[in-house]
Amino acid sequence: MKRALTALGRLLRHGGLLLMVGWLLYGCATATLPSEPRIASFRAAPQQVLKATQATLIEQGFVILHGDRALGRLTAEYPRRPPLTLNARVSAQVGGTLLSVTAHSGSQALAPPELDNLMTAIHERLGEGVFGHPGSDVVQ
Amino acid sequence: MRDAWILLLLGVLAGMSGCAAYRTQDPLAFAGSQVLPASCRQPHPGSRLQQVSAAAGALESMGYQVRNTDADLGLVTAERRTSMPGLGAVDEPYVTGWGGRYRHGFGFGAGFGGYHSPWGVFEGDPVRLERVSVAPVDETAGTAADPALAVTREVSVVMPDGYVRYRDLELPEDFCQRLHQSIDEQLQTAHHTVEPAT
Repeated sequence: MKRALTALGRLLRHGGLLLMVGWLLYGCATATLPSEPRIASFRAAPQQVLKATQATLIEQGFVILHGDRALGRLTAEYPRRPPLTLNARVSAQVGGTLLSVTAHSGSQALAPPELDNLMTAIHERLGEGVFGHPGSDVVQ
Repeated sequence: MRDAWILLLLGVLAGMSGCAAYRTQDPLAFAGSQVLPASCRQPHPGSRLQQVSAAAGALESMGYQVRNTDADLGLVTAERRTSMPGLGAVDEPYVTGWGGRYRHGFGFGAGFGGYHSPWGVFEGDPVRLERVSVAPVDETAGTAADPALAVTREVSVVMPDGYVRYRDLELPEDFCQRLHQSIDEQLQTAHHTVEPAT
């Protein structure tokens, strides 16, 4: 009886160890997220939003690879390995502009919340920051 | 027993430290700190169109190929490729073996094809690829008089098989200084000869 109990205890201990190791390894697995854009709305015109995006990015050390005002597109890259690539699109909206940005690090898509700081910086640059105008609404 | 727990704790710590992503600098932080040195953002006279034209001309005179321009955004992007012979002579991901060089983990025993190249003679040279973008900053919602032009440059070294050996933001003072001087010169000469249509 006693021997059986110690055997059971050993099994539990080893089981716990196994579980722990498995849990550790599981933490290293990276989740692949679909490429969802981070979307924000602005009161400024599309051209102003695109210019502000471009200026914000180049000030942060991004290299602008492509930009077209008429199409409302901008592609920028941060030089590192793997490269961090941002794709921005602006579209006119009732009473302002919709800006959507997707980010990729190499082939891996970044989660939309990682671009929160970028959106805040663009809002600040356009004078539409949370502190400047409490009414500024952020979609999503 | 106690030693076992200590060992386990050490193992957990080691495992967790392996998972921690170490980043020296997060480009998406936007903490408000200035990344570009002052020499890389300087004001220039002239209209937006004149500035774009001068920036494109300046980059061309420095040996870059203009890739993309947008007069409304004030954006000029350009790139330059330089061959770097001899750079890959002694370097990573290859293993030197009988009759050629092999990549780690691939091609052993394959003989022909794949990454096999006897003494590396059929390989090209590494290429240094520079990408430059010039764009106005200090752009407020209203009108901006004399906005400064900012410059960023990405330098990457690509091995013949496509492996990117090096990639970084390189903005030495003399490069920025030279480019801005060249833009100023272009603006002065263009002022006398060409009057761009508005």
